[in-house]
Amino acid sequence: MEINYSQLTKDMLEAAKGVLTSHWKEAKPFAEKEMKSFAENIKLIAKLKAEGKITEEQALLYLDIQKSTMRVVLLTIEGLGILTVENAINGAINAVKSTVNKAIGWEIL
Amino acid sequence: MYTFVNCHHEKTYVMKKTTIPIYLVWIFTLSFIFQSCFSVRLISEYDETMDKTITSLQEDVTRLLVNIETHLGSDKASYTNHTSTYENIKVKLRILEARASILDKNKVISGQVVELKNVMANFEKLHRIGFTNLDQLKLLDNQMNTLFASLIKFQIALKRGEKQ
Repeated sequence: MEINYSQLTKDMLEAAKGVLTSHWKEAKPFAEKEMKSFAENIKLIAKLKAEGKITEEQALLYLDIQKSTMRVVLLTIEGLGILTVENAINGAINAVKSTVNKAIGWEIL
Repeated sequence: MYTFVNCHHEKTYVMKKTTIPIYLVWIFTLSFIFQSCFSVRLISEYDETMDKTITSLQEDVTRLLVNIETHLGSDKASYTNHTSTYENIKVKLRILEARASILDKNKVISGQVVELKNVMANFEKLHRIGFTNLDQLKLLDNQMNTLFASLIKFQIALKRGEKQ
C-alpha cells in the first residue's frame, strides 16, 4: 500500500498541536521539522525494505531512535518555555529592584 | 525563648526566659526569604561539565559515523573494531547521568539523558547487526544531527539564562 507522506506529516502535526496547545507557538518550528524528518525516515525505511536492505528488527531500532529523538526535542521545547518564564520573572524583579530597595531602605531585592 | 545567663554570685549557668521582640524575628525571617527570592529559578542551572560532555559525545558519535561510512563494507567498519569507542561513549553517558542527578529541578535534563542513553544503546545494537549500505547510515546521521542540535540548543539557552 502506498503511503501519502505529506498527509502523514500533516496528521502528525495536527495530533502534536492538540497536545502542545500552550507551547504551540514555540514548538511549531521544531515540530514541523521533526514530523517532516519522521515522514522522510519512514519513506527511507520503506525503500530499504522494498530493496531487501533492512530487516524488521533494524527498522524497529531506527524507529525507536526516532521516538527518543522526538522526546528530546519536546523536552527541549518544554525547557526553553520554562526558561522564558524564569527570565520574565527575573526581568520583572530586576525592573523594580532599585525602586523597591530605595523605598523600603533595605537591599531586599 | 531561652538563653543561658551567668548569674552574678554563682558560678553556675541557669536558663532564664528572655524576650526577643517579635518584630525582630519577622525582620530576620523576611529578609532571609527576600534575599533567597532575589532571582527565581524554575529549571536546573547551567552545568559546564554537562555542556562539554554533550559536545564531546557529539564529536565521538560523528567520528564513529564518518569512520563507518568511510570503511563501509570492510572489516574496519565492523562493530568489533569500535568497541573502545562504545566504552568511551558509555563513560560519557554515565558522567551525564551523574551530573543530571545532582542538579536541582532537573526534569528536563534527566529526561534528555535517559533518551540519549536509549539512542546510543540502539545505535550500538544496529552496529552489532552490521551496516550494509549508506542509506542505513543516512537514517542515523539525520537522527544524530537533530538529537545533538536539540541538546546543545538547550545548553546554550541555559548558559545565556545564567548570564542574565
